[in-house]
Amino acid sequence: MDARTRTEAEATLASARTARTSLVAGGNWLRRYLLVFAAASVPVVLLIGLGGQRGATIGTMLWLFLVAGMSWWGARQHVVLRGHKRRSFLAFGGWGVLYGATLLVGVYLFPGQPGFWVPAAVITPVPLVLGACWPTSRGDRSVPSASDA
Amino acid sequence: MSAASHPRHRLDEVIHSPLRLSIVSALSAVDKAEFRAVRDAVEISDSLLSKQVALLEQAGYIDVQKDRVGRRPRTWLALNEAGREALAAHLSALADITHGHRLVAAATQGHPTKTWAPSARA
Repeated sequence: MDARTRTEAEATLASARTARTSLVAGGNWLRRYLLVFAAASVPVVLLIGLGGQRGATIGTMLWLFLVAGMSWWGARQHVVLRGHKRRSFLAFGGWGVLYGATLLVGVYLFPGQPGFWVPAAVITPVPLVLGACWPTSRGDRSVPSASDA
Repeated sequence: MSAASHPRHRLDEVIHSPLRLSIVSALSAVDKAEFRAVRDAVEISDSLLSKQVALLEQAGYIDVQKDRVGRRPRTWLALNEAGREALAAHLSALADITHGHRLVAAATQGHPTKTWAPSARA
Protein backbone atom coordinates (compact mmCIF):
# COMPACT_ATOMS: atom_id res chain seq x y z
CA MET A 1 0.00 0.00 0.00
CA ASP A 2 1.88 3.10 -1.05
CA ALA A 3 2.10 5.97 1.36
CA ARG A 4 1.36 8.58 -1.27
CA THR A 5 -2.03 7.08 -1.98
CA ARG A 6 -2.77 7.01 1.72
CA THR A 7 -1.66 10.58 2.27
CA GLU A 8 -3.76 11.77 -0.64
CA ALA A 9 -6.74 9.85 0.66
CA GLU A 10 -6.38 11.39 4.11
CA ALA A 11 -5.98 14.90 2.74
CA THR A 12 -9.01 14.42 0.53
CA LEU A 13 -11.09 13.20 3.44
CA ALA A 14 -10.01 16.12 5.61
CA SER A 15 -10.90 18.63 2.93
CA ALA A 16 -14.28 17.02 2.34
CA ARG A 17 -15.03 17.03 6.04
CA THR A 18 -14.22 20.73 6.35
CA ALA A 19 -16.55 21.62 3.49
CA ARG A 20 -19.28 19.48 4.95
CA THR A 21 -19.02 20.99 8.41
CA SER A 22 -19.09 24.47 6.96
CA LEU A 23 -22.23 23.81 4.93
CA VAL A 24 -24.02 22.16 7.84
CA ALA A 25 -23.31 25.22 10.00
CA GLY A 26 -25.19 27.30 7.44
CA GLY A 27 -28.29 25.19 8.00
CA ASN A 28 -28.61 25.88 11.70
CA TRP A 29 -30.87 28.85 11.09
CA LEU A 30 -33.91 26.65 11.72
CA ARG A 31 -32.96 26.50 15.40
CA ARG A 32 -33.07 30.29 15.68
CA TYR A 33 -36.27 30.36 13.65
CA LEU A 34 -38.05 27.98 16.02
CA LEU A 35 -36.69 29.67 19.14
CA VAL A 36 -37.93 33.09 18.00
CA PHE A 37 -41.41 31.67 17.50
CA ALA A 38 -41.23 29.92 20.86
CA ALA A 39 -40.20 33.12 22.64
CA ALA A 40 -42.90 35.15 20.89
CA SER A 41 -45.56 32.58 21.65
CA VAL A 42 -45.43 33.33 25.40
CA PRO A 43 -46.50 37.01 25.31
CA VAL A 44 -48.97 36.31 22.53
CA VAL A 45 -50.79 33.70 24.60
CA LEU A 46 -50.70 35.96 27.66
CA LEU A 47 -52.08 38.90 25.68
CA ILE A 48 -54.87 36.80 24.24
CA GLY A 49 -55.76 35.22 27.56
CA LEU A 50 -55.30 38.08 29.98
CA GLY A 51 -55.45 41.23 27.88
CA GLY A 52 -59.12 41.26 27.09
CA GLN A 53 -60.39 42.23 23.67
CA ARG A 54 -57.59 44.73 23.11
CA GLY A 55 -54.93 42.24 24.22
CA ALA A 56 -56.32 39.58 21.90
CA THR A 57 -56.20 42.01 18.99
CA ILE A 58 -52.64 43.12 19.77
CA GLY A 59 -51.51 39.52 20.31
CA THR A 60 -52.98 38.37 17.04
CA MET A 61 -51.44 41.31 15.19
CA LEU A 62 -48.04 40.63 16.76
CA TRP A 63 -48.25 37.02 15.69
CA LEU A 64 -49.19 37.90 12.14
CA PHE A 65 -46.28 40.34 11.89
CA LEU A 66 -43.95 37.72 13.30
CA VAL A 67 -45.13 35.07 10.84
CA ALA A 68 -44.69 37.46 7.93
CA GLY A 69 -41.24 38.59 9.07
CA MET A 70 -39.91 35.16 9.87
CA SER A 71 -41.30 33.72 6.63
CA TRP A 72 -39.48 36.46 4.73
CA TRP A 73 -36.29 35.69 6.62
CA GLY A 74 -36.62 31.92 6.32
CA ALA A 75 -37.16 32.12 2.57
CA ARG A 76 -33.80 33.88 2.25
CA GLN A 77 -31.72 31.20 3.92
CA HIS A 78 -29.21 29.30 1.82
CA VAL A 79 -29.10 25.82 3.31
CA VAL A 80 -31.84 23.33 4.10
CA LEU A 81 -30.62 20.52 6.33
CA ARG A 82 -31.81 16.95 6.04
CA GLY A 83 -34.93 16.41 8.14
CA HIS A 84 -35.82 20.11 7.96
CA LYS A 85 -39.41 19.55 6.82
CA ARG A 86 -40.08 16.84 9.36
CA ARG A 87 -38.65 18.88 12.20
CA SER A 88 -40.65 21.97 11.21
CA PHE A 89 -43.83 19.96 10.79
CA LEU A 90 -43.52 18.29 14.19
CA ALA A 91 -42.53 21.49 16.00
CA PHE A 92 -45.24 23.70 14.52
CA GLY A 93 -47.77 20.86 14.53
CA GLY A 94 -47.19 20.27 18.23
CA TRP A 95 -47.34 23.98 18.95
CA GLY A 96 -50.56 24.30 16.94
CA VAL A 97 -52.25 21.53 18.90
CA LEU A 98 -51.26 23.02 22.27
CA TYR A 99 -52.08 26.56 21.18
CA GLY A 100 -55.49 25.53 19.84
CA ALA A 101 -56.28 23.55 22.98
CA THR A 102 -55.16 26.47 25.17
CA LEU A 103 -57.41 28.92 23.38
CA LEU A 104 -60.33 26.53 23.27
CA VAL A 105 -60.17 25.62 26.94
CA GLY A 106 -58.95 28.99 28.25
CA VAL A 107 -61.36 31.28 26.46
CA TYR A 108 -64.41 29.29 27.52
CA LEU A 109 -63.44 27.94 30.92
CA PHE A 110 -60.75 30.26 32.31
CA PRO A 111 -61.20 33.71 30.82
CA GLY A 112 -58.79 36.19 32.40
CA GLN A 113 -57.47 33.70 34.97
CA PRO A 114 -53.67 33.91 35.34
CA GLY A 115 -53.66 30.52 37.08
CA PHE A 116 -54.50 28.95 33.73
CA TRP A 117 -52.98 31.34 31.20
CA VAL A 118 -49.51 31.74 32.69
CA PRO A 119 -48.73 28.00 32.81
CA ALA A 120 -50.39 27.59 29.41
CA ALA A 121 -48.20 30.36 27.95
CA VAL A 122 -45.12 28.55 29.22
CA ILE A 123 -46.19 25.09 28.04
CA THR A 124 -47.48 26.06 24.59
CA PRO A 125 -44.08 26.74 22.98
CA VAL A 126 -42.48 23.55 24.32
CA PRO A 127 -42.74 21.70 20.95
CA LEU A 128 -40.96 24.62 19.27
CA VAL A 129 -38.17 24.54 21.85
CA LEU A 130 -37.84 20.78 21.47
CA GLY A 131 -37.69 21.18 17.71
CA ALA A 132 -34.93 23.75 18.09
CA CYS A 133 -32.93 21.68 20.54
CA TRP A 134 -33.33 18.33 18.81
CA PRO A 135 -29.92 17.22 17.59
CA THR A 136 -29.20 17.80 13.95
CA SER A 137 -28.64 14.70 11.86
CA ARG A 138 -25.00 13.75 12.44
CA GLY A 139 -24.34 13.67 8.76
CA ASP A 140 -21.07 15.44 9.43
CA ARG A 141 -19.73 12.15 10.72
CA SER A 142 -20.11 10.49 7.35
CA VAL A 143 -16.75 11.73 6.24
CA PRO A 144 -14.14 10.42 8.63
CA SER A 145 -11.31 12.65 9.70
CA ALA A 146 -7.79 11.64 8.85
CA SER A 147 -7.28 10.58 12.45
CA ASP A 148 -10.26 8.26 12.23
CA ALA A 149 -8.85 6.53 9.24
CA MET B 1 -2.77 -7.82 -2.81
CA SER B 2 -3.13 -8.04 -6.56
CA ALA B 3 -3.28 -4.87 -8.62
CA ALA B 4 -6.93 -5.40 -9.49
CA SER B 5 -7.99 -5.84 -5.86
CA HIS B 6 -6.41 -2.61 -4.67
CA PRO B 7 -9.18 -0.39 -3.27
CA ARG B 8 -8.15 2.47 -5.54
CA HIS B 9 -9.81 0.59 -8.40
CA ARG B 10 -13.12 1.14 -6.64
CA LEU B 11 -12.70 4.90 -6.48
CA ASP B 12 -15.36 6.79 -8.40
CA GLU B 13 -13.77 8.64 -11.31
CA VAL B 14 -16.17 11.57 -11.05
CA ILE B 15 -16.00 12.00 -7.28
CA HIS B 16 -12.30 11.24 -7.16
CA SER B 17 -11.40 14.88 -7.74
CA PRO B 18 -10.85 16.38 -4.26
CA LEU B 19 -12.93 19.38 -5.25
CA ARG B 20 -15.87 17.32 -6.40
CA LEU B 21 -15.59 15.08 -3.36
CA SER B 22 -15.82 18.16 -1.15
CA ILE B 23 -18.89 19.35 -3.03
CA VAL B 24 -20.63 15.99 -2.92
CA SER B 25 -19.67 15.40 0.67
CA ALA B 26 -20.96 18.80 1.74
CA LEU B 27 -24.23 18.26 -0.12
CA SER B 28 -24.70 14.83 1.44
CA ALA B 29 -25.34 16.51 4.80
CA VAL B 30 -28.19 18.67 3.55
CA ASP B 31 -31.46 18.39 1.68
CA LYS B 32 -30.34 21.16 -0.60
CA ALA B 33 -28.07 24.16 -0.56
CA GLU B 34 -27.88 27.32 -2.56
CA PHE B 35 -25.05 27.64 -5.04
CA ARG B 36 -23.37 30.44 -3.09
CA ALA B 37 -23.46 28.47 0.17
CA VAL B 38 -21.69 25.56 -1.49
CA ARG B 39 -19.22 27.95 -3.08
CA ASP B 40 -18.38 29.43 0.32
CA ALA B 41 -18.19 26.06 2.06
CA VAL B 42 -15.83 24.60 -0.54
CA GLU B 43 -14.00 27.90 -0.93
CA ILE B 44 -13.87 28.12 -4.71
CA SER B 45 -14.93 30.60 -7.35
CA ASP B 46 -18.32 30.75 -9.02
CA SER B 47 -16.95 29.65 -12.38
CA LEU B 48 -15.06 26.70 -10.96
CA LEU B 49 -18.07 25.54 -8.99
CA SER B 50 -20.22 25.88 -12.11
CA LYS B 51 -17.91 23.56 -14.02
CA GLN B 52 -17.88 20.99 -11.23
CA VAL B 53 -21.64 21.16 -10.84
CA ALA B 54 -22.08 20.61 -14.57
CA LEU B 55 -19.88 17.49 -14.39
CA LEU B 56 -21.70 16.15 -11.36
CA GLU B 57 -25.08 16.83 -12.92
CA GLN B 58 -23.98 15.14 -16.11
CA ALA B 59 -22.91 12.11 -14.08
CA GLY B 60 -26.39 12.04 -12.56
CA TYR B 61 -25.19 12.69 -9.02
CA ILE B 62 -26.76 16.04 -8.24
CA ASP B 63 -29.98 17.82 -9.12
CA VAL B 64 -29.99 21.49 -9.95
CA GLN B 65 -33.09 23.55 -9.33
CA LYS B 66 -33.67 27.24 -9.94
CA ASP B 67 -36.12 29.59 -8.25
CA ARG B 68 -36.43 33.21 -7.26
CA VAL B 69 -36.77 35.15 -4.03
CA GLY B 70 -38.15 38.49 -5.02
CA ARG B 71 -36.06 39.53 -7.97
CA ARG B 72 -33.06 37.47 -7.05
CA PRO B 73 -32.63 34.18 -8.89
CA ARG B 74 -31.32 31.29 -6.85
CA THR B 75 -29.76 27.99 -7.84
CA TRP B 76 -30.24 25.08 -5.48
CA LEU B 77 -28.00 22.04 -5.51
CA ALA B 78 -29.06 18.69 -4.07
CA LEU B 79 -27.32 15.35 -3.96
CA ASN B 80 -29.66 12.68 -5.32
CA GLU B 81 -29.84 9.00 -4.43
CA ALA B 82 -27.35 7.95 -7.10
CA GLY B 83 -24.95 10.57 -5.78
CA ARG B 84 -25.33 9.38 -2.22
CA GLU B 85 -24.63 5.79 -3.23
CA ALA B 86 -21.61 6.82 -5.28
CA LEU B 87 -20.26 8.86 -2.38
CA ALA B 88 -20.71 6.00 0.06
CA ALA B 89 -18.88 3.60 -2.26
CA HIS B 90 -16.10 6.09 -2.87
CA LEU B 91 -15.61 6.81 0.83
CA SER B 92 -15.58 3.10 1.51
CA ALA B 93 -12.74 2.68 -0.99
CA LEU B 94 -10.86 5.61 0.57
CA ALA B 95 -11.35 4.09 3.99
CA ASP B 96 -10.00 0.76 2.77
CA ILE B 97 -6.94 2.54 1.42
CA THR B 98 -6.19 4.31 4.69
CA HIS B 99 -7.17 1.34 6.84
CA GLY B 100 -5.09 -1.01 4.74
CA HIS B 101 -2.10 1.19 5.36
CA ARG B 102 -2.67 0.99 9.09
CA LEU B 103 -2.81 -2.80 8.96
CA VAL B 104 0.51 -2.85 7.14
CA ALA B 105 2.02 -0.30 9.53
CA ALA B 106 0.82 -2.27 12.54
CA ALA B 107 2.16 -5.48 11.14
CA THR B 108 5.57 -3.99 10.50
CA GLN B 109 5.81 -1.91 13.70
CA GLY B 110 4.01 -4.22 16.07
CA HIS B 111 1.46 -1.59 17.14
CA PRO B 112 -2.16 -2.49 17.57
CA THR B 113 -4.40 -1.14 14.85
CA LYS B 114 -7.34 1.09 15.38
CA THR B 115 -10.07 -0.40 13.29
CA TRP B 116 -12.29 2.02 11.54
CA ALA B 117 -15.69 0.99 10.33
CA PRO B 118 -16.70 3.47 7.68
CA SER B 119 -19.95 5.08 8.68
CA ALA B 120 -20.18 6.75 5.32
CA ARG B 121 -22.69 4.34 3.88
CA ALA B 122 -25.42 6.93 4.14
